[in-house]
This record gives sequence, C-alpha cells and structure tokens, in this order.
Amino acid sequence: MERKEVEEKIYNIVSEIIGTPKDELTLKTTFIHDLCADSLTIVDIVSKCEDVFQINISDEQAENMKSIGDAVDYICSRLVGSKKK
Amino acid sequence: MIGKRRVVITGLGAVTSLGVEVEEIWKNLLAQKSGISNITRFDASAYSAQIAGEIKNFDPSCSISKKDIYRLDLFSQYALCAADKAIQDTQFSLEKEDLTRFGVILGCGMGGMNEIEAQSDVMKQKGPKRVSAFSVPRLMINAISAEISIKYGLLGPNFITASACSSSAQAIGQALRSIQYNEADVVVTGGAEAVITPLSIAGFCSARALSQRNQEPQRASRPFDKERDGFVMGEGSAILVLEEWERAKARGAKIYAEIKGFGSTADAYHITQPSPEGQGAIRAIELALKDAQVSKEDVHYINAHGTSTLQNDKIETYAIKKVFQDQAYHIPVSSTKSMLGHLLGAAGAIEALVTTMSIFKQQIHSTANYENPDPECDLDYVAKNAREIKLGCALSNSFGFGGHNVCLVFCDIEKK
Repeated sequence: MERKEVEEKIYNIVSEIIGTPKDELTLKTTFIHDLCADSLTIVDIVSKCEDVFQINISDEQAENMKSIGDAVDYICSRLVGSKKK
Repeated sequence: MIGKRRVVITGLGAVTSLGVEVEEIWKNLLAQKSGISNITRFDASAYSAQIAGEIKNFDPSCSISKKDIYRLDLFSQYALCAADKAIQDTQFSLEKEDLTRFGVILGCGMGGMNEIEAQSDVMKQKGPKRVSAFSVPRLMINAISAEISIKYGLLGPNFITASACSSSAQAIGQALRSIQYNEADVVVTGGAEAVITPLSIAGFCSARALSQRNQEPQRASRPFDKERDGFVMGEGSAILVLEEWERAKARGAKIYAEIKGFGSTADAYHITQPSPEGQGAIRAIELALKDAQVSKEDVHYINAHGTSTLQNDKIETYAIKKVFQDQAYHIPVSSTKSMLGHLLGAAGAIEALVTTMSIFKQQIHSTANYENPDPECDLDYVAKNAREIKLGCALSNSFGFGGHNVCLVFCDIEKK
C-alpha cells in the first residue's frame, strides 16, 4: 500500500470517529491536543486502524502515536515490514 | 411537617414519526395522521410484522455535534434532541441557575439495541478485539440521563427507570416526587426508545405481540377496535421539564399544566399477560387519584395505554369502568398509539406530553382506526374527530410487560 493511500485511510478513520472534516486534518494534527480525543476515542481509532490495515498495534505503540503523522509513519513501517516477510 | 410542593410542566420536546416539533406533532395528532409505514430500516420481508412508526429523515446534527453522534446509539440521539428542544422551551438561562437542583430522570425499556446488534455482528465476523470501545457507553440504558446531564451540567438526581412500557411514566412519577419532596427544583424527565431493529422486531413477532396488518400500515394500530390484532412498534423520545410551581411562577414561565398524582403498582401475575381482573391497573389509577387529591368527577379525559392488543384494551377498559363506575361512559378515552405506534419505554413520556398538551390546548385527539365496536370495549374512545372540551384533570395510563402499572394525573393549573 502506498503512503498516500495509508494517509487517506487514516484521515477517513479519524474523520468518521471524531467528526472533524477531512480537509481540516493534517499530518501534524495531534489526537489529544488538537482533536481533544479521550482514551476511548483513541482506542477506537487504533482498533479501526488494526482492522483496516490488518495489523496488531500494542498499547505501548499506540501511546507513541501522538499525531496523525506518527500513525501514518508507524503503520507504513509495519506494512513495509510485512511485505518484506 | 411541610406539605408536598406543587409541580408544573414548563418545557416540552419530542422526536417522533409525526414530527420533531411539539406543535407539529400536536397538529398531526389532531388531524389523525399516522406515522406508521413499511419498515425501511432493514429487510423485514421474512417477518410476520413488517410495519412500524419509523422516524424518517432524522437529522441529529441540529442538537448534537458530529463527534457525539458517533458516540451515541440512536435512542440517545433521540433523547438529546428532545431534551434540547424541551430545555429551550423553558427559556432557562442555565448559566445563572443552581444546577445542583436540576435532575434528569428518564425511562427506557430496552437501551441501545442498535448497538447491541451491530457489535454482536462485529464480534461474530471479526472477533472480540474489533468490538468498539464505545459499545458499552453507547448501549447502556442510563446513557440518556448521563449524556443530558453532561451536556447541560445538571448535577441533581440522575437515573433511569426500566419497567418495560411503563418505564417513562415511572420516571415522570419519580421526577414528580423528587420535586415534591425538595430533592430537586427542576427535573428533565420523559424517555426514549429506538428498537426498530432486526432482533427486537423478531422477538416481538415471536411473542405474537405485533399487528400483522402489513398491507394497511396506517390502519394496523387500532386500539379498542374489535378487529385489533396487536401493537405496532414505534420509536422516539419525549421530554418534559418539571419545575416547582412557586419558582416557575416567580420567573414568569410558560406553564403547560400541573402534574398532581402518581400511582405505581405490580400485577404479580405473569411476565407478559396483564392480570385478568386488572387489579394492578385499578390500584394504580386509584392511588394516582388519591395522591393528586382529585375527585373522580374532575377527571375529564383519559389518555389510555391503548396498545391495540386483545388483552390490554379489554382489561384497561375493565379497569377504567371499575374505578369510575357509570361515570366511565362519560369520560373520553383516546390512544396516542393509534397514530404513533407503541414507543415502548418512551410511550409513557409521549403520552404524558400529549396529555399535557390536551390540558394546555383544551383539546383531545381521537383514536384512529376505531371503527368496529367490541362489546368488551364499550367506552367513548373519541372515534373519528378530535374534540374541544373543558378539561380540568386528565389521566395517562401506562402498563408494561412484567405487570408494571403506572397512572399519572395532570390538571389545569387554574384548578386548585
């Protein structure tokens, strides 16, 4: 999956769950500070990402994803990793 | 001992299949319009009952942010929209109020059925890890009272009553007590329900509770008519804001009516059948009249539970006759369910709202589809047309699966 496609899918997930229009989201948008996401919202976003990208994301890894860009980076790295296997 | 404080209704809001503004709903009921049609929410072709009072084109965004819509089951969306309208109707400036004196007491029969069914599908198809983190807060029955208190910062008593089809009448009764006995000055009360779902409709079909008049949706809910064959599922929310009378007067509030009495009993008989002699219903009505200190002669209208099931309508009629004797034949009785269907846990709330409007407007709506007299249902069911009447006090009856009986008494505020 191309990075652009991963970005697009994550924007869709975040927009669906938080209700923020996609065009107001950027890679720099942070979940807690910018989107006021609570713990349930973050868990739901992570779960949707796991489902869409067919990967497991541990709670520790999820903790490190502060922004949409962090999520894109992490998921791309996992997808590249799984391709290599 | 200080006596009970008087309680009045100063705000109304509703979301129903006949509209989302109280005046619009009221006009539609007077015009005998039906909110019942074929089920579109899911493919009901395999069901014995394929009709319901669905709310079409509901737009929650007028009252709820996009973020919150995602977090809420449909029944909570209905409740929040109705509460928003009711609170606006009171013209409170909430920022100036002591919100520790504001409670929220609502009724609901079944809770977040849409969410239960959706997440059950997710779990079966994708496994337990894919079940949404929001599943529990969406489906829990107390979501509605919690969400309203969170949205408006209301800090007083806050809970849900669940007694099937009398749930929200029970809630209104508890809200009345809460103000009468000085636990709160204002209570947002009523109820919500949204169970036009595959599993829920299937369950009621299996219990043989629903009308199968699928070819004539608008003629299917026919309370007290000899050809009745079950109830029609409805959905929605109705919210009433109850306020201590002196306080409402002092701020010059619009007062719709006074709520004066509450009676609550159990049949202790059967989990779905009403007791054949209607003792539970009779005692509920008598207790409510005694609580209200209203004489039988002052009752000018009864908004019936009137489900359109064989048993309910027969036994409710019997109970009314037992309480009122010969006078029963002179009291008009009508059923809101004939047009909206049965809102289950929210039925008591919409019917309390309708009873309140009847007093405020001095008008009563008819029972739609009452055409064929049943010898066992021989009261004045307000056939054909709405009426203008002089209305001092009115009753609203609610009876639920499990044998939970509630009667509420509403009066014109001028009546001392």
